[in-house]
Amino acid sequence: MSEQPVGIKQIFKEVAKSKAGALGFALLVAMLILAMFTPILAPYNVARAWNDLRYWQDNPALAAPAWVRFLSPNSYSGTVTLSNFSLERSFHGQYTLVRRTGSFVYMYDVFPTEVRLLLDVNYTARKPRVIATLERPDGKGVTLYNGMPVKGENVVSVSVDPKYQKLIGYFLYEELGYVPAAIHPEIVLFAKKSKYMNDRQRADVLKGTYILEVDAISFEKNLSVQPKLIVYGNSYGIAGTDNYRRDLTVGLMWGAPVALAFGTIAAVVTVLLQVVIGAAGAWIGPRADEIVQRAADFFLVIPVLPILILINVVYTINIWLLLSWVILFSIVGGVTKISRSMVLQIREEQYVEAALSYGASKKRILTFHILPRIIPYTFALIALSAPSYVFLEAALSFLGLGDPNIPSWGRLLGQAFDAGALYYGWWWWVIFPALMIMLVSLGFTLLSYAFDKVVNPRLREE
Amino acid sequence: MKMTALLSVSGLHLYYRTSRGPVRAVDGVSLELKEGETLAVVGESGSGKSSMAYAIIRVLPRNVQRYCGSVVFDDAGDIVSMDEESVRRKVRWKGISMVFQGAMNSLNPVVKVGEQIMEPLIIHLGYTKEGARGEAARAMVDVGLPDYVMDRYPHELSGGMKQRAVISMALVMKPKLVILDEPTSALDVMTQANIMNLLKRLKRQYGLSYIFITHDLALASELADIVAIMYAGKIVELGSAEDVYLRPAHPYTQKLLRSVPLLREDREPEFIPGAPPDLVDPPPGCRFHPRCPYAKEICRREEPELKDMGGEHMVACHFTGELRGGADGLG
Repeated sequence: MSEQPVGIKQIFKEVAKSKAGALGFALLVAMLILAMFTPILAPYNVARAWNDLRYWQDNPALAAPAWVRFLSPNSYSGTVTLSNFSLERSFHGQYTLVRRTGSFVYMYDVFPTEVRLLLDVNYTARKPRVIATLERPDGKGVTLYNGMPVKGENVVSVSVDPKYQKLIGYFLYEELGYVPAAIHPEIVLFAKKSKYMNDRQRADVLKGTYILEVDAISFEKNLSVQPKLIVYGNSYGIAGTDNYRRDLTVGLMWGAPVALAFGTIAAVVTVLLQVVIGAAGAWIGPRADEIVQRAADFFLVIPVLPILILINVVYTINIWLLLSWVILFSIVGGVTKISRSMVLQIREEQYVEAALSYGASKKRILTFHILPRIIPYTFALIALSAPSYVFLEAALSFLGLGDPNIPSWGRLLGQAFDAGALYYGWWWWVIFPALMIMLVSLGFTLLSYAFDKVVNPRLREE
Repeated sequence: MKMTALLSVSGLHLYYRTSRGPVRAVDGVSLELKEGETLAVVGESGSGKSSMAYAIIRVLPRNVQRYCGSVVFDDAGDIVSMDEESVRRKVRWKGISMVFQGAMNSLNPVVKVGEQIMEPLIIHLGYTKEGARGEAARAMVDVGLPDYVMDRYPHELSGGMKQRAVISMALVMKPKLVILDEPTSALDVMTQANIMNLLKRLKRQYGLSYIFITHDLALASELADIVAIMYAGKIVELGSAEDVYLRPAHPYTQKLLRSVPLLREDREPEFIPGAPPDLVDPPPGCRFHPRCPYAKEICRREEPELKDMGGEHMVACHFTGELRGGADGLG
């Protein structure tokens, strides 16, 4: 009993000394560091681009994290991007020929997931004809594109667009003598010649140097072509990508400040409000107490989540507005009852009686004698309620009711759920956001556990 | 000789509301205290001693049913009829301060001792923290506390030190009257003696008046000028210490004195059969009659008045003249 630590500094010291407290602090500090570095490593405009799908088009879709290549080098590949091209410009009487040549080495054991050619073309009035040919290590050339692109960026979806698949079909016809019903250009282009060269399971990867040659012919002197070939792999970044090619690492990083800010601010503000209101009600008198406690009962039974959903329908919501609503619905609540019960106990203490007898005002007794007794417990309560606010934000985002402008963990999980990530085995899309939520909650929970032990002497270990 | 009274209490009632009916904790108490005098209020547990103290300083629990009578203090007027704010400003701590029962609980465990001693100064005299600090330090020196205690938390002090801290808190505003509610219970005998000596010294030094509430007759005799014996919410005997100890007139006082074991005399300590009465439903007539060996018919019927036996020795018994018995030299 006499060992009960007093003074905020000492309480924090005691908490940091306990194993649970130290681990909790470490987890939260790690999260805090991540949150602080997030704006540096992934600036806000990157996070804002979350909804801009064109921003992410250089990334492979649904790629596992890149580090799985170390665990299983035979089944994962990276993305190869070819954007360095030599330039040859020649004039032949009336027309101009621009030839761009570039090469890359493909050494992965698995086939790419997709091949895409980007052509940035510029001219004055007359469209040029552009022919793109990929020369394989075995000397065979395959035409990827033959057409008249418009001014600006042209996306040649070699793998997906039937128009371009047909070109690969010509190549297959030359090699195999027939054209299969379904053509997989990303396999055919990178497969050793065999009758299975259109079959992902049975074809062999043709490793070596590939050369892309892009010829543009125009009747104009003003002509430029900037090609870019992307051979998408099936692994990317620290945390992989989603179905819209977005880098999940960015989403996960932005989730940290969102979760920490939301959880901490909501917990601190609501717990302090509830503690002070509950204590003041119990201290002022039976009437105030009754009003506060009935209000607390009311706020305890109203379903906050459906109401937040309704608010969401009516107002466009952002994270701060959401926070304000959450605080508004938690002005009184469970903590009010806890602080009230503590005040009912404390007000019978002799030092409160003594304070009354020496003429301290009720307000003075509340701030000088009563609140300092409750404050240590407040830390435990804040740490205890923070995870529930982290969960609330995640739940709302999961339902698509969070701040639509920035990614958060709940939102990632929601999108994973919508895409059927677990069913298709895209584990990275589910596990990492879930893990982050768990780690933050664990940090707060361990901390509250440690606080509880320190401020609640009955729970202390011998 | 007739000095004006510092405190004069008359017809003071304090009833508590309970589910069983009103508890008559203080039932018509009257007494007077002159400046510099010490009144010892002695009685069993539950006889209304502490309630009387609370009634005098007007710190009332929430379940008060009846609070009436008059408590005139110095030139402040009647505390009972005064409004709360003037009690707070004029009486509390400036005029009357109180040391509560059980010093361990009179200090907030999470506030430093020094800050608690400063509190009355900050509240009443508008001191800044720095100003109050010096004043509190002086009060602490007065009660023999080393100055490092200032920045200690209560749990870091011994029981005796806590008691001293509480006493210095009562003295910090230099009041005229200090109510001491069992200031030495829960302390060991050595510490008890130290605190008693301290109280005596402070009384001499500042000319304080005390109302000393105790259940310990021997302890009361050390400090008391006048003694009030309380039984079931009433004063049954009131007089100078000499009169009450040497010539106790009420059977209860006599029994009480004989229940004290003596060191130098071979006498079995006596006890009073029965238990103190239920204050919700006190016995009719004299409240002591069920336990009184001399009880007669009239005691069951009529409540005895407090009668002056001469020399301001007041006794509430129908047979005051007849039942003079010695207390065999106590104190």
